[in-house]
Amino acid sequence: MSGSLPLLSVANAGHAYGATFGCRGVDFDLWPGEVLAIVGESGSGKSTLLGMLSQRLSVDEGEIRYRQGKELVDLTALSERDVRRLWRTEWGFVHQHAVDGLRMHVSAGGNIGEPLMANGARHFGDIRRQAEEWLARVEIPLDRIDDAPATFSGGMRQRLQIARNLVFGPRLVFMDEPTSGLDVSVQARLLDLIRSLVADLGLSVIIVTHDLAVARLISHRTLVMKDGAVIESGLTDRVLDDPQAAYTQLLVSSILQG
Amino acid sequence: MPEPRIVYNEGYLDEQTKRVIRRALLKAIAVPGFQVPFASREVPMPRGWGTGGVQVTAAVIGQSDTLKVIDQGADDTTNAVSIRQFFEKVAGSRPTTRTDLATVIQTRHRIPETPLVEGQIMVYQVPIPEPLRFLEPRETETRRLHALEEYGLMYVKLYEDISRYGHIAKTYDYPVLVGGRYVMAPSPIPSFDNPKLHQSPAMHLFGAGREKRIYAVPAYTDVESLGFEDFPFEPQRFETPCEVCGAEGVYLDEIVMDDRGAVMYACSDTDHCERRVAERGPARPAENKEVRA
Repeated sequence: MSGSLPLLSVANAGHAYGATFGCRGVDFDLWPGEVLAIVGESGSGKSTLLGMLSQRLSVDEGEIRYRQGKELVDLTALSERDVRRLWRTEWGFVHQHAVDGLRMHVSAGGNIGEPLMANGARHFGDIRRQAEEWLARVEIPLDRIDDAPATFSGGMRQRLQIARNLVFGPRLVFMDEPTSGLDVSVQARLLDLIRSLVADLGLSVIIVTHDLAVARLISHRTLVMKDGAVIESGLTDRVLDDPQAAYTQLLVSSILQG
Repeated sequence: MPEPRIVYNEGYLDEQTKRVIRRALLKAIAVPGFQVPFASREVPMPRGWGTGGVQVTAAVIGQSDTLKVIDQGADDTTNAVSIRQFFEKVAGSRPTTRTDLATVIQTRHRIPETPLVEGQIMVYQVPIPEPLRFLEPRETETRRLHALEEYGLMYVKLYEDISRYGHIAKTYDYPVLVGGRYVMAPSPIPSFDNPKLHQSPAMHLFGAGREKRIYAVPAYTDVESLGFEDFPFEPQRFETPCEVCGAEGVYLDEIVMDDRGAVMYACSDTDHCERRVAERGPARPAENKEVRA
């Protein structure tokens, strides 16, 4: 970490659905290479916050600034073209349901190749080679490269979605409950994979989860949300081992201790 | 002699409608490859039979024009004959089957083999104007993709073809980049005809009646068929000459000859074939033998 500027700087940000705020008064900085978990119960505003950070929902209050070169740029000031360029070149988004993030009737290779082609790759051999490389990295057998994800299992689809989001070398990846639709053994393998890829590539990740175990396993820092507000934040180990807010204490104590 | 009970305006459409279409055409020509929405009117034929082409033709044709209409390259199919006669009746245009004499050529599927010249207008009947349609079903989204020049999706289609068949298997409606800016569907012309669009001296106007879109390739515009660096665009090629006139390097139709699977290959452009036979006589039988063997 260079220590000079954060990658993403959020100050007092909020998004309103009509008259009520889905999340409000959010403050944090995200540094390069950092994994930030956002935990909270269903309806606490986690996904709203993620949507707002990724510019899919409007920022109705406060501001979100993103580092470009040596300065922080206010994301709301960017044109649609610029935001879409960020999506193509610097940001990834892993959806909870792979169906939302993949083209189900385009082959696995085509799914991985699409972001490359969107960025101007025009050499079939190169695209194919990178697709093969990434299939190997996310442990999908190479002979499935021409099969559509519609024929894949849930775990494979999710791994394919991750490959598609990392292939172009993003700086920041948003993940919305990436493991919650999967059974426990597949979850563990997927988390392992995400953790090693994030460490290898030096990515910054914002991961939304309702599962504290996921936060514990892969994140450096954790924000706890309730009723649209961040009620506690800090290093993951600190938040989970020494919860200070009453709600966090309740949340932590509700996990079965093994 | 009593007056006929129905009198049509010249070119069938009323003057206001023709102006609407001409405005759309001017905009289309100003922004090559861009799909201009227009208020598609009813014409006396069903949608999907070339209503877009008929409206464009009606907006540009006059009494001094000579009209050729082709369907699959042929001048003598039902649709071609009836559209030609329709404009003869309502616009007073002269009909012709000869490419070199025509000033306006309305077409489905083909660009004539005879090279086009300055001053000629090609009018295409377009079924699906949006090249990204089957990849992205939302109209709002495809418009945005065109506006922001995001054409990665188009290449996904080509990628899928190569990974499945080892080459780009799309042989008609092959997507092109017009003037270095807009990706355009060249109507369902075979990819064989794609190179004829590039720097063509004629004006190419595309009308999609059902989808209510008009677009254009003005004369002398760059039209590049999409492809990968290692799998560039390759137009269809035919190994054999036409069995009727012996022409090589032309687009051929397969004609089934009997119920035992015998076929013959002949020019799809009937005007080109007939004139060639008139000039040089039919292809020699020896050539036929060679082809069939």
